[in-house]
Amino acid sequence: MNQEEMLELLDELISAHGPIGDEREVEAVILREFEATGAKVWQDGMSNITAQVPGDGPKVLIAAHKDELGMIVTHMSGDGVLKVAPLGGPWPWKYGEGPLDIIATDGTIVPGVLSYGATHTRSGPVGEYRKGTRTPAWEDVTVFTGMSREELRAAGVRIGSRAVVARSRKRLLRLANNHVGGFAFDNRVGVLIVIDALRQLVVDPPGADIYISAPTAEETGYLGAIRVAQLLQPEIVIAIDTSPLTPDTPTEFDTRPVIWVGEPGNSRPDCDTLIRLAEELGIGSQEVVYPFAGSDAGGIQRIGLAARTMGFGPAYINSHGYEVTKAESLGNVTRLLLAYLRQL
Amino acid sequence: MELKRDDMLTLLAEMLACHGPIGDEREIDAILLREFRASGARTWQDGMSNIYAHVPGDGPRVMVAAHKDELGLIVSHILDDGRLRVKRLGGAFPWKYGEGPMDVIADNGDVFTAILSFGSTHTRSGPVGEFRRGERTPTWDDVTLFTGLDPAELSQLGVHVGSRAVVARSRKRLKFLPGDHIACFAFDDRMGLAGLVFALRELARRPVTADLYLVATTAEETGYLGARRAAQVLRPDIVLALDTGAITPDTPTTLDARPVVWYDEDSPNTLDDCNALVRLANELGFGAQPVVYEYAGSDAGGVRRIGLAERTVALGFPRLNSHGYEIAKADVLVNGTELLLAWLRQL
Repeated sequence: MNQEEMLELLDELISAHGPIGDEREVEAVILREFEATGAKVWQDGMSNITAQVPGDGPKVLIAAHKDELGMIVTHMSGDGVLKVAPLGGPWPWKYGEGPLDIIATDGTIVPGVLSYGATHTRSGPVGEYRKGTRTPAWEDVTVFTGMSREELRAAGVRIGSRAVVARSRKRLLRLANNHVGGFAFDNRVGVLIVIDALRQLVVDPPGADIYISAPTAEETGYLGAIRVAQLLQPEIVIAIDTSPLTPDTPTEFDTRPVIWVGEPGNSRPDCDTLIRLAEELGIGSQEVVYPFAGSDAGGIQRIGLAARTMGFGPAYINSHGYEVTKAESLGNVTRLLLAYLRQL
Repeated sequence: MELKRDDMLTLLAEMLACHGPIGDEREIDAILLREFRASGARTWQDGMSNIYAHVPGDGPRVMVAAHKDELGLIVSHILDDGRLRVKRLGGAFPWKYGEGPMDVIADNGDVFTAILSFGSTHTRSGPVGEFRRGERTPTWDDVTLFTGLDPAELSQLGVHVGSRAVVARSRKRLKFLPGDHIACFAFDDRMGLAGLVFALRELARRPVTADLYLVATTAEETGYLGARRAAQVLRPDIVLALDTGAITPDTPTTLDARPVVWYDEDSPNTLDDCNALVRLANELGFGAQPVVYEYAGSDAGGVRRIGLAERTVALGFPRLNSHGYEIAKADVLVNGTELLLAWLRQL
């Protein structure tokens, strides 16, 4: 894909909802794109979607998780006001007040509004925020629907329904100097990159026995990728995931793929290979040791399901909020992934 | 009464999409001047940017104020990498907005989008570390606006320390929710402005006895400054503020289609006029909610506190989530405007 094609597909991928455990919308896009390559594609009972590009070489699993951060309905009051709990690591101060989409049982959307209540008070949580002593927490917010509990039930909303930032806030935003912004780049950007890679691998298979997977529930403990690895028993696992700029790492905001050398058990020789290949491709790379980030590769490695693991992805800011990345970095990650697979 | 709800909502939607952070209200000014002039009333703008329409009469001099400024931000620093630091104008809070698109207004009025940013949550360091531990509330000092531009490019665009920023237009579309609710940023006080324009249309056609000045005021959110100046110039007998009414945990206000009558805001409004509003609302069939605010103020109270009007009263459109993404009943827009007209007719 050229960059414009990548950005168009990214817009579609980030606009499709996929809070952990209700990923129907994004699955439809992934299944369409995986199947369009001609590869063998299947979805398991946990909802993980996998495509195979067979070969005689080592068995390689490439994982780019399809779940996004979201909320789950925990209470429904009589006047139709909902309470929610986080799924994964979202924060209400990252989202702010504004439109949410609640996903009904049939997949239709019921609109809601994440609400803190009035600021014209010194009472309650808002009073504490005004004093600066409390961080807005999920127990402080409600979701206004304008419907009664009975109307919500009739519409297919119940305790356990998922909610996400509204689609109206999720369109890809083009910013100056080839930056793009949106929610849920983590990890729709990774999904985009593995789709881009799959298209090219099918045309010219590299020899390794390659499984490209979009697993679920990364944000709640790498559960999908762990299950896929249990089934496939791969030798090598590569996580393609977004790579945050944090104050406790020297990461810079540029177009070089970020290589996670410090997810402790990642394979040192493979990381070295990635760094060398990035140099040869002329795109360069950044090595990073994250004290507080994890990927599907690390999740699999920690339970002993792969001999060699690694993770890399594009650098981005504002992780788990309104994320911004450099458009050029997306294609660079695809190129590095393909170069790695072709030298195995 | 000729008030058409759909027409009012259409104008409200147009006004909501117009930027007007305190002191850079060009976009909303253009709409107001267009609408005020279209009514046929004599219309002018003062040097402070307040916009007036006059509907002359022989009765008491009445100033009806709805403020045209909205909450916003002012650029305080341009960092070497082109990110902007901001201070707030009025009572905006970063946790109300969240991360996401903001529009920065350049000198020539063009806007470009920047991203309100807290930075990554994948850390235990710095402000985000404190937020993760729940130790304190995010403040404006904790955020930057990412622009993607370098300082030279920003300067060329006409963005500098002092430029204004607001929530991006893409987030300011009027949203319709079930139960006849509407939602958006800046109902405070675009609802008042929509009411003011529709009241003016009626009043220009059918004047009342009072000598009426309808004023769209600036800088309400930073101390009622526009209304105070307008009152100094006009010397009204009576001031009515047409504003929103916050639904707060420390008042009995509820989200319905009854306008809010502000009996008290720091100091009490004129009892007889408040009572008249409640009585008229009952006669009109929709009723009113009397309220005593401890932590809210309007142009009426602002004018009263400096001795510029003998009688003051404030009338509000009740809405949830004040100073954030606000929610109201669509019908209250019509009800509040009808109540204003009925009150003016009985003066």
